[in-house]
Amino acid sequence: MCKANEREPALPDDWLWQAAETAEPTFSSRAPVVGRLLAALRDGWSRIADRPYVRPLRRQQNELNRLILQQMAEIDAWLLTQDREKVALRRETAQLANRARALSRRLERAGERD
Amino acid sequence: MSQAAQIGPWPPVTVIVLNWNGSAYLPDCLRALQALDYPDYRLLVVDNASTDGSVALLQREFGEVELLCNPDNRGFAAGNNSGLRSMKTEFAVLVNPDVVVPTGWLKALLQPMIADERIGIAGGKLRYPDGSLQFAGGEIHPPQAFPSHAGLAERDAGQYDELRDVTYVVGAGMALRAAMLEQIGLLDEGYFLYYEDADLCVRARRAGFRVVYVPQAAAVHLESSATDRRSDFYWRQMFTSRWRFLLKHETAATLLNETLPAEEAWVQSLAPQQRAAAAYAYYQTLRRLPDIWPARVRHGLDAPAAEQQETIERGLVRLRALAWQPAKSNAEQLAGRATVEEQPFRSRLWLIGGLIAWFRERWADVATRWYVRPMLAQQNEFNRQLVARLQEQLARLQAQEQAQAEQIAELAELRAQLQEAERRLQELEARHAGRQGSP
Repeated sequence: MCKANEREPALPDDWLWQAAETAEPTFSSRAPVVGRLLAALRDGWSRIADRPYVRPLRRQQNELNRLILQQMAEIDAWLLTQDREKVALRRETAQLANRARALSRRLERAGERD
Repeated sequence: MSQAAQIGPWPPVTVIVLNWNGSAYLPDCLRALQALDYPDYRLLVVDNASTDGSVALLQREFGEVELLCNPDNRGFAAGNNSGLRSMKTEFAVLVNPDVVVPTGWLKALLQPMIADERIGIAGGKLRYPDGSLQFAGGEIHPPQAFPSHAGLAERDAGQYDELRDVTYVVGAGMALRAAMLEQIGLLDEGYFLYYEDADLCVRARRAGFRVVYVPQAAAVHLESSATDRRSDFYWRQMFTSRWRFLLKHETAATLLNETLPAEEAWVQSLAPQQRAAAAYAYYQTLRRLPDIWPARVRHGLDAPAAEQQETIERGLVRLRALAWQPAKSNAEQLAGRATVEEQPFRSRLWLIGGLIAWFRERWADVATRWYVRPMLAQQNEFNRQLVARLQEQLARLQAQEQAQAEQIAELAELRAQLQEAERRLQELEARHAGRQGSP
């Protein structure tokens, strides 16, 4: 368990995509002799009682999870591109500023000659 | 006696190895070049401001090799050009530092050029270290100028062992005729990486020179040692250079009627990383249009009419917007799916289906809903908050995009004004110099 002042490391993208698809648990029992029968009964009961209600909800949530991850990938890519373009714009602004200064100096020299 | 041995005397050649952070590959490359059986060649390494100790390694272990150090990384074209400008030989040969050549390679590569003065550029066969083919002649495919290498990843069974004319050869191992370079100019320094070799070959062919693939000159190439082919940098450079090539060499009609529509469909099919690189390429191309059109004219084609240029510019702006279209479509879908909803029970069983569905609903009321609904409410609240945050981020990105577009337009205006002011000042200075010179 993390302490309050510790940050959890960022999760790798592969893990996120796998985790986006929630999986149904499989029932198991460690009870001796009757364990497998218990697990089978639980599974059967769940088929009738819970799954018809929960599965559609799970499908919708998984679809939403996938869309969210797609959108995060799009936003990541867009942010990266904008960063690169900002760098290029800054560089061009500096180049233009240099040209303007050089032009200004040439104008001064031309003015002095006159 | 071999055909190569019958040629003589072999003219002096300048072999140029352009290096950028290739210290891991340089020793093998240079030792192979030093072992060539060619009688008269100058070996020149041009270093593009490497930061991996390449220069120290060259000075320590290859002190006899001529070294030209550029103050910054100027890319493939500018780097090689600084070597080409120093050459005084009839031929120059460009070799990548991650290429290893056999002893007879240079003679094999130059023999056809010596025999036929119409050949302006020759490139050899390239193989991967495992012996499979990497390059056996290059083609550029309209309307989007995607390149292809003949033989890529095939087993070399001699199927590409005939000398033939091709659209382009790769700069990793290409021979250039000095007389051709004097006529058509050097590599276009407007490219930083990729397509500069294809550009030169197209210009050579336009000027009436042949560009040939020489299978007898086979070498091993550890492709893209300086660039990871899955990186953002690789895709940005590849796409940006492709558009420079397109605007320089494709007809205006093809650009408008075929290239732009094909590109619209293509960009929307890409994964986010490549789409981002394409968006960057469109932006870079828009910025550089004032340089690209004059380059097109310098290198042999008419500039498109002003209206066509404007349409192409609008097309690039539209392509950039399309690159981000999936993000906007996702946003719409997210808005509609943020809330997970209970689904009514249905049964397709005949006659009793309705009864079964009714019982299931009642059972769910008693056994499951009271337990699941509170958790579902929490999850839905979380989903809505998360989707809202993502929509906010998207809105901010779009606003930034708009601001950036305005900045690009302002800078373009400023650049044009500066250019005009420089031109007028040049005229003034020339008139002033003329007045001073006259009696």
